[in-house]
Amino acid sequence: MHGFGLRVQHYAEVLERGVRADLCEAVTENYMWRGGRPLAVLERVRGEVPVSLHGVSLSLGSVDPLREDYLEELAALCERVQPTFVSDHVCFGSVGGQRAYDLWPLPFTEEALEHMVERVEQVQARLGRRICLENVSSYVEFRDSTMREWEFLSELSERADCWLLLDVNNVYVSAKNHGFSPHAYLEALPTERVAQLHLAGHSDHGSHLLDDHGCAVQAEVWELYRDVCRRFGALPTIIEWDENLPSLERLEAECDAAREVERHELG
Amino acid sequence: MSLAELQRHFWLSARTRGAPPSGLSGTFTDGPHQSATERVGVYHLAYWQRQLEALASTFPRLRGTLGERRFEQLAFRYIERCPGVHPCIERLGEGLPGYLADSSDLSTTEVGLARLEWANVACLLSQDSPSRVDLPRELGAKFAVCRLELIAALLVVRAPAAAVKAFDECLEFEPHLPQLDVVFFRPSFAVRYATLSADEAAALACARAGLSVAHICEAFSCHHEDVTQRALTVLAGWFRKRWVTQVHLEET
Repeated sequence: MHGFGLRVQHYAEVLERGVRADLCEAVTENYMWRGGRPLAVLERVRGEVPVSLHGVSLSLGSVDPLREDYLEELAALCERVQPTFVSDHVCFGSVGGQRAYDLWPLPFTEEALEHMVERVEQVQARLGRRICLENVSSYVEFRDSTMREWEFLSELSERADCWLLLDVNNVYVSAKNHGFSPHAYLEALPTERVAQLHLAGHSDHGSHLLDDHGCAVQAEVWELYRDVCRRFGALPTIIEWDENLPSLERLEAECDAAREVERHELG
Repeated sequence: MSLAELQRHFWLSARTRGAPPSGLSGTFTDGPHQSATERVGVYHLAYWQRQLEALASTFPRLRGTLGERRFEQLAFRYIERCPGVHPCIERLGEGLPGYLADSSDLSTTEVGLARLEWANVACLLSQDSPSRVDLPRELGAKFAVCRLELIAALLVVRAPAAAVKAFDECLEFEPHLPQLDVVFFRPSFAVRYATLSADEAAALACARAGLSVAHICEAFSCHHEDVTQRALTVLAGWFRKRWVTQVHLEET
């Protein structure tokens, strides 16, 4: 199944002619604490294809307490939309209650791991369902880290009994930025825990790659996606595109391209 | 360093105005092509830029009035003094009008413009409410003791006439008035707005305060000889514009 991330700029067209994809993903916070058109669009899409909710502000890795009002809104949205997956990121995004509006990476330490496990369990208990956790692209590494990112994710998914949302572009970006092998990363992940995939574009800033979702999926990431398909099989795959957002047709064509890669690799 | 200390350190490094502080190599490693400070710089830039863009999107007219550079300086001061606490970045601008009123050297017109722009977004973000579209004529005289519950997506902002003109020069109002009440409402998907006459603004304030229809109608007594006709016209307009979600009959 292949789909794309629903974006505000496409709402009018989506309302008019629906989506031509197997599934869609909605950024959770765009539908929380509000009324109006976004929810109408989401319900229209939900009537046509399965929808996943993808959060950016749960701030699972933060030492701040989880916000009860956030969980309440999320639970209500899940009840309304009945999403296929509910996901967020392995990161922190708030300090002392103040928001970063970003996905800041965690140190890969036992303390951070235990903290994440506890928080994921808390959220899963609150929602009454497993959630999916996405690997973020990162631009720093911490001296305190005692394990590699893939070890951290593997342990986290096992201990918290959650799914992993593998962002293939993020693996590639972080691998380039930190100088590790993306294939070694994939090899180390527990196959049975990876439930969903993301594909996106990035930009090359010379000194580092930036995960800006600003262009089509690059050749190197398609290549890695081939490896992912072979290792993990056919999984729901979402194309994310935010900056320089193209037409709905172009997004749907990118989904077709991903479908074709999967078909080629898996027959 | 504990997880809490490390997160605090990250926060301070990303939030330092201008550029991230030097001497971060004790916490972060150097990368293949960047120093630790340069790597933190990626997050630093994103922190300020993303929020600047969010504020620019909420306050396009204020940005146009102030110019790019002045707006950027103001936005950065606001982000520094009043870091966002809501999980949704589109609510980052909620405190900006108050911040400007309290602490800036902006004119009252510019502050008023910020208030109008935030009201526009706040109305867009408001919860949906079902609405009644007709006066409840079946209630007869009992209507006078009813309370009108207004939709959540209805906001009234008082602003200087010059701010209202800067917000939308097509809005009609009496030119001699220094301050105007502007109502923002969202009957379905799109936000609409209009200036209010003084009596209608007063009546709406009564309705929002939970006063009865009889009290609401008193707001029209100062300005009109035919109070009943004026009240009926205005109240029917509220229903027609889908401002009323419930009519509560207060039994005595």
